[in-house]
Amino acid sequence: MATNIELAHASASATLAPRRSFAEVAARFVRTKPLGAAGAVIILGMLFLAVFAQMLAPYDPYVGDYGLQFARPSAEHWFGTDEFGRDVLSRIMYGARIALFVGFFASFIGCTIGALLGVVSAYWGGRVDLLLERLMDILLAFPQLILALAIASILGPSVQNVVIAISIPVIPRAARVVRASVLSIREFVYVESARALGVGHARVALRHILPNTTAPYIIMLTAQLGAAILAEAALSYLGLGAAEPTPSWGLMLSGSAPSYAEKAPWIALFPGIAISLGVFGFNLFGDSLRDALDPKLRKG
Amino acid sequence: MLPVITLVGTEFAFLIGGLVVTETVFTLNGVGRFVVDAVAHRDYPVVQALIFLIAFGFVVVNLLVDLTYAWFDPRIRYR
Repeated sequence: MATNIELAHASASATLAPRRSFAEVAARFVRTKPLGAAGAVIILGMLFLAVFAQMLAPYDPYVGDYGLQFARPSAEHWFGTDEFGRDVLSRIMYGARIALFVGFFASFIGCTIGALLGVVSAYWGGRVDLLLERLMDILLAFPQLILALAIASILGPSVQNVVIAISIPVIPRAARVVRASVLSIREFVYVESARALGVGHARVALRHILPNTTAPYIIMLTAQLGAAILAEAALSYLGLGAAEPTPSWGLMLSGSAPSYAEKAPWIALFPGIAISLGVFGFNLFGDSLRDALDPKLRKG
Repeated sequence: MLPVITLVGTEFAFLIGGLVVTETVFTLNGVGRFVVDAVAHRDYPVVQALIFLIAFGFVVVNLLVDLTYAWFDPRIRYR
């Protein structure tokens, strides 16, 4: 009898992982996922550039110097200047703001609306589920970039409209992922016990089910962040994103940059590197975060 | 084998999305550039028709992907 109690106690304490501080969790993440940490460093670097662009940028990104068109990369202009004599480095720094703003808000809005719809459709089930899922099916029938293109064409080009255009195709994907996990969470005993205690449906859904979907939600968010930055660059490139003087990475690649590609390759080269690096950072971080957060993939 | 076939469907969508950009970059006269030009000229009927066509193609490809599961794995039966 005594051994039984001890055993029960041992297994109970084994399942309860000790609460770790943020620093400990971060140190563990760096140790076990060096690639993910590298991604985090890239993201933090981008964030730093975006926040302090005003102080860090050596020149005004909007004002050109017509005496210095197509200047080669040099000590004064590290990444050279474009066809209006604007400093490419400064424009990339300010461009990080647009990329992060659009990337973060588009994936945040898309994933949040999608997650709420997923919880609603999985928790209530029945006709609500059927109706919402068929709606999501309709949205999923469009390739992501094509749907964003169509929405952007209706709304017209501006930064806010790009956020809306990119976030809508994210909604059905987030809804599917969250719905799948809510379907299993709904059957857990604590949900039943909460219902038995007389807790209302809305409270069960918001307080007991929603917090348990944070892992897939955060994974979706980081995965879509990189995709959203890429989509923003594609839309700006096609002339549906930010309008001309705005220093958006996609916009810097388009316009006259391709026609000057032989004469002044740095105009297109450096924004291209910035886009690739940013998306690469978010993908590395998102992948490692998924491994770290998903208990099924966690080793040891 | 089956996950690879599944990827064909998703990759198809991704590549059509990429087509829009690639055809603009290399000035190829394809559906992708047609969409972009129609959008640029605010030609809504053309945009609508092309988006519908692309979505239709995407759905058909995914239907074929679903059907080929049974061909590659005889244990799968559709009732």
